[in-house]
Amino acid sequence: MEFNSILFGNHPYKLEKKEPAFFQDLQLDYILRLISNSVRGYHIAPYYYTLPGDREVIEFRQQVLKDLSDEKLFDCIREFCKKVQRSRQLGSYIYQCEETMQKASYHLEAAKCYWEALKKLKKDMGSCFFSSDGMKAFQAYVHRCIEELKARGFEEAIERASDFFAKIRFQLVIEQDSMTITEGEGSGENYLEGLADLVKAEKGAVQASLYDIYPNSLEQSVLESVLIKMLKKSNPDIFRELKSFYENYSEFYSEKILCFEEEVQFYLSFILFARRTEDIGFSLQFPSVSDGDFFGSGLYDLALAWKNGKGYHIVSNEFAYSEKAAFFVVTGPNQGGKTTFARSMGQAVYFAMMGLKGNALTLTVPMFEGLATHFEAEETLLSNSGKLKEEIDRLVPMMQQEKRRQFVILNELFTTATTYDAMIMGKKVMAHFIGRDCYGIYVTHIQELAEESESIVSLVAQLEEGEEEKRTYRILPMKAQGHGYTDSLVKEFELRYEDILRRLG
Amino acid sequence: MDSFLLYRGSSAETKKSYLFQRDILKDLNLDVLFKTMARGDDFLYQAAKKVMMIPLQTPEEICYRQEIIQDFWDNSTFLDELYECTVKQQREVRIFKEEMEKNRTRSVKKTSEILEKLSFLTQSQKVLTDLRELLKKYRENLHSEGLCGLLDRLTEEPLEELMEKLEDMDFFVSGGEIGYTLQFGGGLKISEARVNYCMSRQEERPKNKQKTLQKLFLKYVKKNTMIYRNNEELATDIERLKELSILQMLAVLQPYLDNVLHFLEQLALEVAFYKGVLNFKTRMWELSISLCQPEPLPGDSNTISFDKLYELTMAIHVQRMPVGNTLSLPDTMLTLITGANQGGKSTFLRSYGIALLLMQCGMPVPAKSFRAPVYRQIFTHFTRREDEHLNSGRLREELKRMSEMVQVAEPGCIFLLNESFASTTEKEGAKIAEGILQAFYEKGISVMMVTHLFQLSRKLYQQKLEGVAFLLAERKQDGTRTYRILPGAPEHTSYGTDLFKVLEDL
Repeated sequence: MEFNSILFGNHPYKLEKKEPAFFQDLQLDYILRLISNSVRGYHIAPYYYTLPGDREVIEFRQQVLKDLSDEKLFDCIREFCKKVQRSRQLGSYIYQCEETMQKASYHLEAAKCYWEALKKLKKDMGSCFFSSDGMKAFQAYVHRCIEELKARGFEEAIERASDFFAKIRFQLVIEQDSMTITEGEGSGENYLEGLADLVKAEKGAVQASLYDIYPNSLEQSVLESVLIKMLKKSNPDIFRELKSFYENYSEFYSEKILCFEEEVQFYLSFILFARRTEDIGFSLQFPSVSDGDFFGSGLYDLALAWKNGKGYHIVSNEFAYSEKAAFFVVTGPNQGGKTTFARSMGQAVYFAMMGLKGNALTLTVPMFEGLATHFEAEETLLSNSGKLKEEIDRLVPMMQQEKRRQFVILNELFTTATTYDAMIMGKKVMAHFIGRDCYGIYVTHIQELAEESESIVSLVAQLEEGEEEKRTYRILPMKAQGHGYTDSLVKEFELRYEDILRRLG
Repeated sequence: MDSFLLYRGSSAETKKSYLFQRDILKDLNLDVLFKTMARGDDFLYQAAKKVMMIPLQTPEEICYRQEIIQDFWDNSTFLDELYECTVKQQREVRIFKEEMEKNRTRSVKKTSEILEKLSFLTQSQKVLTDLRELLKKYRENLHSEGLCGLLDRLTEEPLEELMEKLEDMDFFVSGGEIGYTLQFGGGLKISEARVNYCMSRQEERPKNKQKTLQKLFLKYVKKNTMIYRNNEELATDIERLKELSILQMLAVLQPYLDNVLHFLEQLALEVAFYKGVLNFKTRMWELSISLCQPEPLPGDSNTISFDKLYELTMAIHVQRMPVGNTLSLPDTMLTLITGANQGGKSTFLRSYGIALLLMQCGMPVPAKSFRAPVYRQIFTHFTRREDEHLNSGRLREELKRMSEMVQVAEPGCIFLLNESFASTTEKEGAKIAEGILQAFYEKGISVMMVTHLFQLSRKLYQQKLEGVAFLLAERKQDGTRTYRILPGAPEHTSYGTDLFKVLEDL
């Protein structure tokens, strides 16, 4: 297999630059922040914004992710990326400095770093076990790169240019108003060591040399450039190898390697995130993609888990759709876990469609072309009619999409309209999506929407039996019920019949 | 480098002080004593308080200090000179620390920090040398392990060698010369610079002659020399290199500097304590009030005996020697003192507490002779009559205080209880006290208690437990008090009515 992309295999792709509309509703923006925290210096968001939309790619990714979950391979790839990143950084300095000798020196450093990274990777991968098409193709490609560079005499040239310089020492004497620089080892005396011995300082407590004297890595200090100039005059030979390397090996990076370094961060970041998720007591599992089956168990809200952290007892749920496209209509008490359930479903579908592990113990998902969500805007200064308009404005483009087979989450639509209007509109919206082979969840207060039919399943957020104040956060399929759960609220606010009589008493 | 004039092989800061200092200070009226030691000098007052609030833990530790006190008593001019030297330096230490603190907010922080540190190091090397010479001068007359050991330790320090280095480092202040070995790395920037030598313009030492010749040779043969005086940017870079170099040298010296600071601070504290002890001894000698060197016994000996033990703070107050008590209490864990009101019970308890505290910091005690075990901790639990609480509130406060003490108490401690739990009915008070005393007794915690709780003392008396002693404030038949405490069985009355009668008679 030819190596092209570790994210999409040999499939063509286009990365989404913008955050998808469903991200915020599913709190995937929060989760992505957690994921991104573990990899600095890479812009991984577009990878997470782009749904591959192809079953083969999903399976390709799952294989790669499984391989990389092995600690040894993970470490070796991560180390490789760090080195390539460092090499690119050094290489970028070339464009920011003016002195040719200095450019040449950065170029050499970048080449050295890149070469070491490749060689180390080849060696390390040789002792790792992996079976995915993606990693195997990459390994073959790395070997090819190394061979090509070797054929160009890259290794020897690096050694020649750097060895020579690394070995030379210079003597600098600074006096009141003059300084002298010469090539040579000098007396070898170390004043700081002598001082340290005298006061019996702990070994290694203080560095015996100075480093990073002029820390701006892009610019030579005046002293440095003066010293180099003086040396150029007195010892011109020193710079010959350096210059010839710069001229003969101006290009050495492989585009595909650099692309791999960026793209593989998608996996690395996710694996680190998954480890941390395990650490706080929650697990992520591989879902499987089906031809039509859609069910799962042990489903929980990953964002909620992270916000509460270690030791939080999270309630998980299970669900099963029938084979035909359908909607779950979820009703039940306020704060009963309806929205959380809907969000968990959305997250699970997202991770499955990304080829990643997800927030359910077991999950089987059919291929979806996309996700569409519509949650109530949390804060708004709009009037009631304004709010309704805003809701519809967001809903219309969702419904006008060309895509079929989407996963749709609708959360409390039309709350500012009358119940009857809301019910009518809600039914129409659902019918529209079902007509386009979509699966979905509709969270609502309106019981009438939960009237079961061939394609509508009613789910209810449960209360503890006999204890109306207690929510269980369990969501079970059953007929939508009356307002039993409101009794506790009524009692709490002393608005029951006898309460009101007494209070008015 | 350590002074170790308070402890063999360690200094005061690692030691555990009395856990209920405030109670001890108040209950034993120690302020009077500290003032006598300080003679108006606040530093001495603070030093005395600090050192005395840490109990020594073994007879050996106590002897270590007693010997030093003897050396100073025999060579008082030595102590004066030492005091002059260390306390003056203490002021320098304080100023230096303040300057370092100010440097945190200064913009030219680095330079001023370098100058301060160089000057402080140089100055403190001189003081250390002076100290060493002073100890040498008196060496023949010194016998204590502590002072002789200090001289040995100072002699081992490379004071002169370090002084030479500090003179080299003066290149940064007075100008001079510095030589490096450089290596260039990526970007042709200096990747490593190592200082080979440095020397101040003012020094002329033969060891550098060779280098100077070598330099001259290089200058004329290779022509790699450049005058940078007029190139401002270059001069700035060179300054930076020099500054980093000196900063790194100072970083190497930092642990030493911290050590010297610590040494000087410890020494000042220690010398101030001894100065206080001598002030105290001198004052008592002036008042013809006698003191003795106590005999500390191991913590598990449980033997108390003393001759003419008197209450020190009262003596200082009235400037003469009060009536003393003479007792011998072999193998005693619990001592109950009962008897007449106004009979000197509290005074006696306090006299014993003060003597213990003095002994446990190595000082002489107010008695003709004094032997007692060394306790791990001393707790004082005196009833606080001045508290204007309601009775229930007072008992609550008392119990809270006791509970906090019990929280940290351990075997080998002593509790001095003065009319504890008197703020409730006798029956209840006795019940509370009985539980506590019983537990302390079994757990190996010593107690000396002044009490009016007759039911309690009677019951304990009848139990005839081993290691329990009963003392009585003497009252003559006619009701007069002798203020003497004698062994005796508890009585059912404290003769409070005597006082009432006196009032009636008026």
